[in-house]
Amino acid sequence: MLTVRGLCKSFGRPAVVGLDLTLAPGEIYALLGPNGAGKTTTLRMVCGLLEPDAGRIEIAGIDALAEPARAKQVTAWLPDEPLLYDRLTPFEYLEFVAGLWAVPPATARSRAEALLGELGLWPHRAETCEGFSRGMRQKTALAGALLHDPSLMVMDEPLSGLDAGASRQVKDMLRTRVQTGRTVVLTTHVLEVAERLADRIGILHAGRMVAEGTFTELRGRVGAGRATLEDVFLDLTASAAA
Amino acid sequence: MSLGAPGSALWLLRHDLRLAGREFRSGGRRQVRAARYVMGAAILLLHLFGFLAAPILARVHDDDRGTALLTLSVALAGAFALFLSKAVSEATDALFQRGDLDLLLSSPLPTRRVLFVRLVAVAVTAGFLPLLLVVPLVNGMVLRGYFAWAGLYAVQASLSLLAAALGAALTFGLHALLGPRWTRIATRTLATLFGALTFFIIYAHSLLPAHLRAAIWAAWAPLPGAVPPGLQWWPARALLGDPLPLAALAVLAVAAAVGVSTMLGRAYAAGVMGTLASPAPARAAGAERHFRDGVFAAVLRKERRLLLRHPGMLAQLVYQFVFLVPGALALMNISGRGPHSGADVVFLTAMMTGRITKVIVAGPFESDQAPALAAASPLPPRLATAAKIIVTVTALALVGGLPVLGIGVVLPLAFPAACLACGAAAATRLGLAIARPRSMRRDGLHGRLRASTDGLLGAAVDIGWGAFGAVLTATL
Repeated sequence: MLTVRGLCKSFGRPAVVGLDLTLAPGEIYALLGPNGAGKTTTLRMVCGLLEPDAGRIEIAGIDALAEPARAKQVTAWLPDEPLLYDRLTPFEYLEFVAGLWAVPPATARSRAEALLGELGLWPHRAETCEGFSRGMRQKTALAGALLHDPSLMVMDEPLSGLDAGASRQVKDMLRTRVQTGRTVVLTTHVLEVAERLADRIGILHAGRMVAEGTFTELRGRVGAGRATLEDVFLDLTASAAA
Repeated sequence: MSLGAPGSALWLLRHDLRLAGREFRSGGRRQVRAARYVMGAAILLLHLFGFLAAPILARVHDDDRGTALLTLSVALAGAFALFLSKAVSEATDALFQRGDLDLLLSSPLPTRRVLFVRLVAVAVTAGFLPLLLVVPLVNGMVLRGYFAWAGLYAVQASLSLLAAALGAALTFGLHALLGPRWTRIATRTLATLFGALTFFIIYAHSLLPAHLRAAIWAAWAPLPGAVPPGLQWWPARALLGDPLPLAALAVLAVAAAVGVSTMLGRAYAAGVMGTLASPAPARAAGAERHFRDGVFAAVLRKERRLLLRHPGMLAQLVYQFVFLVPGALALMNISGRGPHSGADVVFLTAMMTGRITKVIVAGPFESDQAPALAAASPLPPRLATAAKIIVTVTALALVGGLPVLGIGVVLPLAFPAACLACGAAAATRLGLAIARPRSMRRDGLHGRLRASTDGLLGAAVDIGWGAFGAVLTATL
């Protein structure tokens, strides 16, 4: 579903250095790393928001750098800070997003209703977003990201600001979609989320991939049978820094 | 794809206009209804004025094409400077602060279309208020049978689009030259200077000495009755409905907007833009020694640092100084007494001191981003206020004290009155800031009304103390 080869980006100093990634359909992939490791830069390049200095990105068989519009058509981007339009209602926001991705109106309407219902936003569909809590904003943005039924969902800290119930709801929603062949790549600082949700985990440090695999494989790499992901993460990033 | 289909440029523009409309109507229903009535009445009154003024314009149009072209050219130059001022500040916000750019640019829409529409939205915002003022005049002329004047609508649209493109290009250039942190300050200062330029151009007739006006007229005025060949007359000719200049201006504006959107699209993709929120460079070490000081010193230091790092302070101070110049020139021209009269200078300096105080107090008193922090600490509130006052007064003495010292050197007899009037203006403004702390919530009709009332009150204070200083100077 997603193939990244030799991805590089520099902002004066290297942000991402020769990154390779391969994600299969129906997979949840968590990209971890300390602050400034290059996680968001990588995701922004995958979504076409940032042009790489070098490398290749392929989404669902489409060369994302040569045909960005086609690649974006099957991709969704959920930023860490969901910036909605305060003066629009969730329904109007989804209507706008449907227009951006050219979703046929009838399909868009039924999907919008279903998503707002699933995410518990249906009672608030006619309220403008300005009074929404952080969690409600995050859920509205998530509904927008899922509206065009993307094959690849790229999510920067998708669970931040959500309470336990909403967080479970979103995780269930992502799992359901992944079971139908969709792919999710996400970043998170909550290692427990990555441990429980992700099929595979990649650990970035200073723009380079320092380890990749399932949680069990990563645990095996540091040689600690009962280590948590936090232990593994700290061990691997410390080794990379050294 | 049909013209207004989802994803089209028109559809995107409609979305932006819908948001702007909702922002405007964000107050309560009664307030919105009242605002609509007031606007309706204002439009009717302006149309009445336009209809009454139309005969004068018609006479100029019929009798002296040379004067008409020169007058219209000056007016258009002033309007363009105004559009540019608004466009520079709007472009900075639209290109760096609009969080929805992430959403729009991650969609399959072409980047240049998204940015083109954003530029059009900037142009609409920049041209909207001036348009409200000229519409009655144009309609008055059209009603009297001068249909060619309707060309002004196209000229206004073209000039504001051109200004939006130039504003965005300028912002981009500044970003490349100065980096993110200084771009915001530089664009605000530039917007101020362009705004001041508008004032200079529009009031050039009153501000310039008579001999200079005559020389400009002799050099620039086209021959009466002739169609002047120079490109400088094309905007005015376009306004009067001349088809070739009108088409050329429109093509130029659209080409500039398309060109700049394409250039900006590349800049976004390269990750150059959208970084104004990036952290400022680290400061030199050495701050740790400050931890030894007491509570009051810590609060004082925090207020001083925040005031010095206030992003809009420099631009706003420049604005106050720049706007003093045309007023001073006008007063000197009216009185004909040259720069040594004293009363006029004291009047303007006291007014400016009041306005400078308003700018400086905005930092410590109105822009505190963490008021709850001090409120939740054991720090007595009066101590926090005292620190704010000390910092404000020190800054004020440094900035506002210079013109007063200048008066002391050039016009020693006016010095006591200047000290008194300026000190009183500053003290009253400071008192107002403490007594009527500005609401942090400035959006919505209620917030805007409150801001207008405060603005009027402040202006009355400045004018009052300025007049007092002038009378005192004349008496002494």
